[in-house]
Amino acid sequence: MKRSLVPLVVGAVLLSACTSSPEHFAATTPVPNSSSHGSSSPTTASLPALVLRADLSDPAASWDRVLLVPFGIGRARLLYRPPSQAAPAEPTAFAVAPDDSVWIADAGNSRLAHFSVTGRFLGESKTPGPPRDLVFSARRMYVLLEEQGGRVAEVRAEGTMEPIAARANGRALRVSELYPDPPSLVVLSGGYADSLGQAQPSGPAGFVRVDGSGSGQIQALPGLPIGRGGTVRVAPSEADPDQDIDVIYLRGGNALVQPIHFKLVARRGPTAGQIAGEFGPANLLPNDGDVAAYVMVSPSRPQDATRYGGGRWLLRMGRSPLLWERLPDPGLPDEGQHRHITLGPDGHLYLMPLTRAGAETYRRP
Amino acid sequence: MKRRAVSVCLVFAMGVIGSLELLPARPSFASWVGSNCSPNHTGIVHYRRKDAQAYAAVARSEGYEWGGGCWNDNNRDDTPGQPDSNGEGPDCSGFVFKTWELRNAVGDNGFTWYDKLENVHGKFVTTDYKYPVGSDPFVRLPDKKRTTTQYMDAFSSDTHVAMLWSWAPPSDNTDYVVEALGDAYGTDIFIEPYRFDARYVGVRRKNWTPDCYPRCNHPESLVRVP
Repeated sequence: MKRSLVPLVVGAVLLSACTSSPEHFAATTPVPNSSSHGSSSPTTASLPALVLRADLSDPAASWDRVLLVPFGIGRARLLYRPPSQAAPAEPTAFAVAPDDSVWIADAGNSRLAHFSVTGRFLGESKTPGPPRDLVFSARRMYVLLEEQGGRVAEVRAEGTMEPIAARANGRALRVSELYPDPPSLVVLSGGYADSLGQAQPSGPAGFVRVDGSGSGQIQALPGLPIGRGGTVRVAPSEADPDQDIDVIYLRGGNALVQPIHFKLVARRGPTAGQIAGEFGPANLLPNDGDVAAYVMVSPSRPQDATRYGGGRWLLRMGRSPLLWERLPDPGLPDEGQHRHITLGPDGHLYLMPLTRAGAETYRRP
Repeated sequence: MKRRAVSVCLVFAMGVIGSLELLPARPSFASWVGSNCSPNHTGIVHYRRKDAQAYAAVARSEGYEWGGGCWNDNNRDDTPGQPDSNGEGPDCSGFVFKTWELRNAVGDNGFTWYDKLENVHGKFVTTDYKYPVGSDPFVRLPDKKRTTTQYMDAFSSDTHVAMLWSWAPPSDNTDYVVEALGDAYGTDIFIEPYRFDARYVGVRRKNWTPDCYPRCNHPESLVRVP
């Protein structure tokens, strides 16, 4: 049993080889919450909390820009309609294909638009409504067509769409995000779509594996599969759900909990001070034992938000060294965008901020 | 000079928007609104968050119309692909107006129930919700912490407003909100990251009747969004 925990512990220890500036590093020895030494029962171990500072005066990390698709009219452009008593109509997601070409969910035009890395328009696949999310799972591309009814489809090479059932007990699931899990697909489920009116939706909620071949088979998962037999999930801390999270690694029935405390720092002149913040990790990306997340950061108090604004950070944990770096801010209201980061076929991280110039795609060096 | 020009444009734009919002619904012959909507409202004394939630739930799966405020309950958009046509549905600020049972009178914190088929938007737009003044029937919350916000409070930016739903979100980074999202999406419950977007502030309607009413001798605990 201890042996099965070792990779997890090693993974957590590796977190301490940080490329950013956490104030506290993970300890090398886990602190068991439940004693099971000498038995075969599952164990849960907790590590000392990591403290990650988000300094709103930090510059954004430098990523390589690989693509710019301008906004405008025409098939080779994307639609951005500024918000007015509504959310903006804008690209909602993107995915990088095995050949490094880029697909963008052009929600305002109800289509998936395909571009080469040189920016050449390669084609499109029309969708019945605005697509919400887009992901490659190995060589297969999946699109989330509708959140409410969990309508997912595989996009075939010829541009046609093969519906994928995201259903349990004959009932559709609400689906808000897609994740790769070759040869299957994992979705983030909000329970049964038809359970409105209940105090809380019923049915499988959280990460659910969906058979990508269309059989309709689903499997509720304890977390997001990140490779090497492990899964991970992120839970808000009860002590401070706004600034603390628990990253929970699960493997072989054992759990390793890495608490993270976020600190939001703002500067007025030479003085730096801590302010209350809201931290929202989104777009979890599994990659060979690592998990990356796009973390939206906002001051809690409106006067702080007005004075300092917010920011976006990248968090990566797992087997690789911990990464915590600021990302470029979008230049436009982007609340309609659901996927900001994705993985390329080479394991590189990609980012798509929306700016006045258009939808820019960056690759992390 | 440039700043002044921008200000003039902004004032003009706000004036246009304001005038549209304050006007009665446009003459709507041969429109969906003209065929389906009629005034029906009444003042009420008690209004609880859970009443507002039930009211908003009726609008689920209905349409979106910029400047609109009339919808039915057939769970589909009756005017899909027809933006700005006097079609079915509210816009985001009109949806909050009707759900919160607000009134157009200045300094009036009371409640008016509007039938879903009454085409009323109300005088408040998103900037009003984000920057309330003392006479408004809503206030800006001191922060967006999960321990502060309650269901049917709103998150508002300069351009969009949505109300917090009561479900626990399936992941840490989101909230369920009910909102009139846009022409392509209609009105429904969506998972959104507004709490973590610095452009959004928390807003609360004044004067809610406690959810425990009329049996507050046996108080129920307030529903908080986990």
